[in-house]
Amino acid sequence: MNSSRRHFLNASAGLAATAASQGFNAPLAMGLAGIAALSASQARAADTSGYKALVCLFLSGGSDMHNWLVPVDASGYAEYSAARRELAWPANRLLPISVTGQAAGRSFAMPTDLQPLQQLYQSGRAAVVANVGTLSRPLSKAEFLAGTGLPAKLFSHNDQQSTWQSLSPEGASSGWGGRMGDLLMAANQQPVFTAVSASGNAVFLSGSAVTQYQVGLDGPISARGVDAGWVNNSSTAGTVLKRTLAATGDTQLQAEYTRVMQRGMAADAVIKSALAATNAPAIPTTGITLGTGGTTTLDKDNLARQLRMVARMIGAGQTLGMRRQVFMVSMGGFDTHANQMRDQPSLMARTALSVDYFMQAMASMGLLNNVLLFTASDFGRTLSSNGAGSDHGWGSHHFVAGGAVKGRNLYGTMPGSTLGTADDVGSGRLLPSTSVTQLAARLGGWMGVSATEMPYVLPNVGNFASTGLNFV
Amino acid sequence: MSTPPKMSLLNFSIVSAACALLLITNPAQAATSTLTVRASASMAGGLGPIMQVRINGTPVGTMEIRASTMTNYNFSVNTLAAGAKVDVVFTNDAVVNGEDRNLYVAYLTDGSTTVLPNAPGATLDRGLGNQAFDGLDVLPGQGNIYWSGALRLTWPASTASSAATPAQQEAARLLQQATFGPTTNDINRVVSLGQTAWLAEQLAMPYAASYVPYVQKKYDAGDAYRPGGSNYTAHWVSQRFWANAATAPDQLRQRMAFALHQILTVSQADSNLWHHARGYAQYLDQLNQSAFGNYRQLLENVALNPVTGIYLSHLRNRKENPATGLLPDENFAREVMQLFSIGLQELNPDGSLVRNASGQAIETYGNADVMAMARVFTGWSWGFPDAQLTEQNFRWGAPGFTVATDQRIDLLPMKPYPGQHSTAESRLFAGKPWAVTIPANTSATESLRLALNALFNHPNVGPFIGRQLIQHLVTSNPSPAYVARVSAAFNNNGKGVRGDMAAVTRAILQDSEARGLPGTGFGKLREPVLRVAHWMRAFGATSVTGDYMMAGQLEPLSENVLNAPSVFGYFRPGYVPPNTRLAETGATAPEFQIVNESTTAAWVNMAESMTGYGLGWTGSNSDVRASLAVAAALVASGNVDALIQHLNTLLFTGRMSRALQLNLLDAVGGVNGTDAASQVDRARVALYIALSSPEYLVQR
Repeated sequence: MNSSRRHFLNASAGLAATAASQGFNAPLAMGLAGIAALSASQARAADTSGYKALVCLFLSGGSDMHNWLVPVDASGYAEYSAARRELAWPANRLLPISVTGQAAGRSFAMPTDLQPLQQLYQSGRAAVVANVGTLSRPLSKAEFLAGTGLPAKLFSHNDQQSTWQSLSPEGASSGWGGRMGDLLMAANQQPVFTAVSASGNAVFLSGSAVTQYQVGLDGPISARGVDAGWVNNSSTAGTVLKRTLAATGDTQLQAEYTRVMQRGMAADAVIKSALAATNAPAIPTTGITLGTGGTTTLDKDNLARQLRMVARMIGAGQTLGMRRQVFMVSMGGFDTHANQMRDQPSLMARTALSVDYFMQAMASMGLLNNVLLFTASDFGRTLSSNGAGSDHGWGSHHFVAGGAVKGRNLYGTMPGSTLGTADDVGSGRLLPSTSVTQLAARLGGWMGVSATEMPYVLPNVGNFASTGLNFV
Repeated sequence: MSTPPKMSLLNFSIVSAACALLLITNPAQAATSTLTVRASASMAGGLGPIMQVRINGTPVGTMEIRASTMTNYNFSVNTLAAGAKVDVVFTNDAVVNGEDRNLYVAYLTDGSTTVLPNAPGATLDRGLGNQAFDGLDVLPGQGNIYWSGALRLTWPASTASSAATPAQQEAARLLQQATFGPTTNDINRVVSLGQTAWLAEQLAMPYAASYVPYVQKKYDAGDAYRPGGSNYTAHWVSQRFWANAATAPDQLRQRMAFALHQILTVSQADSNLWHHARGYAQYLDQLNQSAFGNYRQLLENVALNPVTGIYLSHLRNRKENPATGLLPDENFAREVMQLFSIGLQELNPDGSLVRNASGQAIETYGNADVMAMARVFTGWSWGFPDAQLTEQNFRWGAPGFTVATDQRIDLLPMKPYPGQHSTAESRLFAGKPWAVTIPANTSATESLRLALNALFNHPNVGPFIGRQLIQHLVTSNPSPAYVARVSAAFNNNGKGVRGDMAAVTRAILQDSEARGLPGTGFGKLREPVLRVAHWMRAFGATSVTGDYMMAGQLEPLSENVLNAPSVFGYFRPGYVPPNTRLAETGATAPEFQIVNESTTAAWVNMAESMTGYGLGWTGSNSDVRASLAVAAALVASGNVDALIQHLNTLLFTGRMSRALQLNLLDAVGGVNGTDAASQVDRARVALYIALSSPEYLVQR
């Protein structure tokens, strides 16, 4: 190990400790120049060979995953239906899945609405990680009840969204996707496309050096008047507009707005030609019945369209000299306090069909082994019913999919489906048995982040034993 | 100011020196000023156009113009009197090897008065030498000079008076915080009344229900126009929103109600509300009605509005059932605390966090409080007549909307249903000075009263709600002292009343931080809704249909009005944009949560539509179009400076930077023609550059 490398590691450890002590509420105590230099020296540490893309599919609102993965052995199903009552799927609506690694005698199934995802699972291209949730350190039920060591602001939508994405509540300045990008972006010829959102601003994609790049559903949006020959019948307006949009003024608000505007304009020229030369398969027109009774088709679905845009960006990335990219897509409507059984089928169908489309697109582009998609959500939900839906919970089951995934397996520990177990902190809110940190560490490892760098991405990673979560 | 143009040595009879300024002046006259010709050129044979300037027939200088972009060419002249004849002479038109030598003049200015080449009375006398002044072969004045000849202008009287007075500037500044945007009339009203009296006038203006009557009128057209009918749409409510923002006289109330909507958010994005246009209209009428009332009443109105009940699922919320394990729905219980009243962490009156002995922030409630609050909001459902409050109606009953079945139940507050309310004890905030215990077997109505009182009296409400209102109206990152002053007004209106929103409104808008000179950290990014409403008001936009058919218009800007993605609104009050200078100090800038590469570009494109085709869609054409008649008339009268000042006053409260003013002039200078359409184009392009500019987007 050379001295500059050691120097970085010390700096990195200090950085992580600072970040951890501040709960990431304060900006990281390092300037952009520092982190960029750090990132450059990192190129030796991180494995950035080949091409890899990590895609976060965020199910906004807190998806009730109790109903995505249902125990179907006799006692398991009996417990599930007793606890969930009107929220339980009938047995004839469930498709069994193959499971290894869980207690003998336990078997599981997925609702028919998830069939495309169930098939990905069965074909070995998807896996499940059981009962994942936000934790700052391993926690027992007794500690939860005593109120010690809890993550801040449990059960609150915005805060747990933020904690899933960044490890701290709303107000966090960087997420673990962006922090991976900080370490990996030096390998990219166009660093601006290191972290890309197709669904709006998300803390997940912010790092200390990395800033998310926003892309529209049909590609980047351009200000068409810039440099145009004529606007409003003025021959000079296009030139004047370009100048005006670069003015930083004398307030931070204007300067920052201008910075975003300019970043978009600079990226435009690069990405548009690369996208034009990229082919991603069209989204099929598969029919979807909505919970409210209407119908739509997959090609009009917002999530499918986001994922097609990601596929196009990944394709463009191959010609732009990209090696590591992190993407964010999202879908809303999962906060099923009411009408859960009406709405969940279409929520599941839209998710599963969109993911299936994306995996097929990647396969047809020859990139299936280079892409890993994982689901995330605000939190799980209560096992208990409120009569029409479920309420905010904690731990939840999630999916990982991609050619590199060791699929057809259920990782972590599936909790029982009765109320009052050691995993239940009340009303069937699950005490997570796997932390988001552990899930993220495995994803980061696949992306090439080394063990010594991991504390920068996940400051609390040292609080957790490395697990057998070898899903990839 | 641009750098001086590169000059070439000219072998020309009247030119004898190679310097930036070539003068032939009469030294007997001392009073001089600088005349700037803003021009560009196309070259031919390596030589640019030779431009000579003459004042009252006397040459004052000659230059070769070589820059292909607009550049300043300065001439020292005697102070220009009104009526002075100014000629810009192009003396060497030619085509060399297919290159066409042309001179392009954007405008002339003496620093206080600007004259366009196509100003009224301007002419272009074509011809070489004396033929440029012979009155033969004359065109109307134009900036694109393709032939040898003289652009002949008459200098107008000074127009410095077109800038807003300090009083008008301050009035415009108040109006951009307190309304959906200044109009010329409102500026004059504030100036004549004074700010305090104008606020009092606005606060005293009674509210007449607007949203419900508008929707009702649609419903009155028959079942096809009612929920489920083929002509029904829930978008009627947002149409009314735009109409009110554009034209309602009670602007302060409307703006406050919009801010309150962003705190007590119910969103039409929830498909369960699609059939409840009228109920949603009622929600907005209530926000307006209660905007200057007491926050306690506002909280109750929103809590019991059935659309809130649907949106946050406490309508039909069932009491616990130990036998089945059923637990009350916690949705509203959580959000009424987290978002509508007290927030997640205990606050000092100045909005800063209360910290415990070990320096940790203190959460205002735990899950036990949420579950207790959930029990409070059990047993409520549609406000059917008292004789019909059955369990069947509680769980399944829904109001009819056809002409035959409509009892307007959606306009009534939710009612408690006998036997449906939790009988368990509910303890809120146990261990705190403000703890409240609602005893077992308390009625639904009394439970709700006690619970809302507990929330309303919590010390967090003043700073929690006050800071957000400041952010929505005035500045994104107010000082703790400002928040504390507003909190104090919330806690006591001066007459011992807590929660008086009129007092809070006055405290926000009359605060020294709102009225004083804006510092560099002061102000807020204008959100898309405010930008569009501002344009509508400033330029008298009208709707062709009268219905402001702009549903979904702002979706590309991530602020689809009345359709926030969730109860967390369009953007979060605590948002700090990462990787920015703002983040270095933790400065909140909520609107930046919807600023990204897509929305910044989309805004420039929308500004182009707003200044051209218009917004909205009638089904065959744009629906909402601004009138640029006033602006176009200013430039048509020859007073382009007044056009710039018109925009400066209405959009920038008179604080537009000089650099941006010059940019507007450059854009205006690129418009050809002297007809009425060209004057409108001049107004359009100036407005386009102004609205697009990042400078405009910061309200200060």
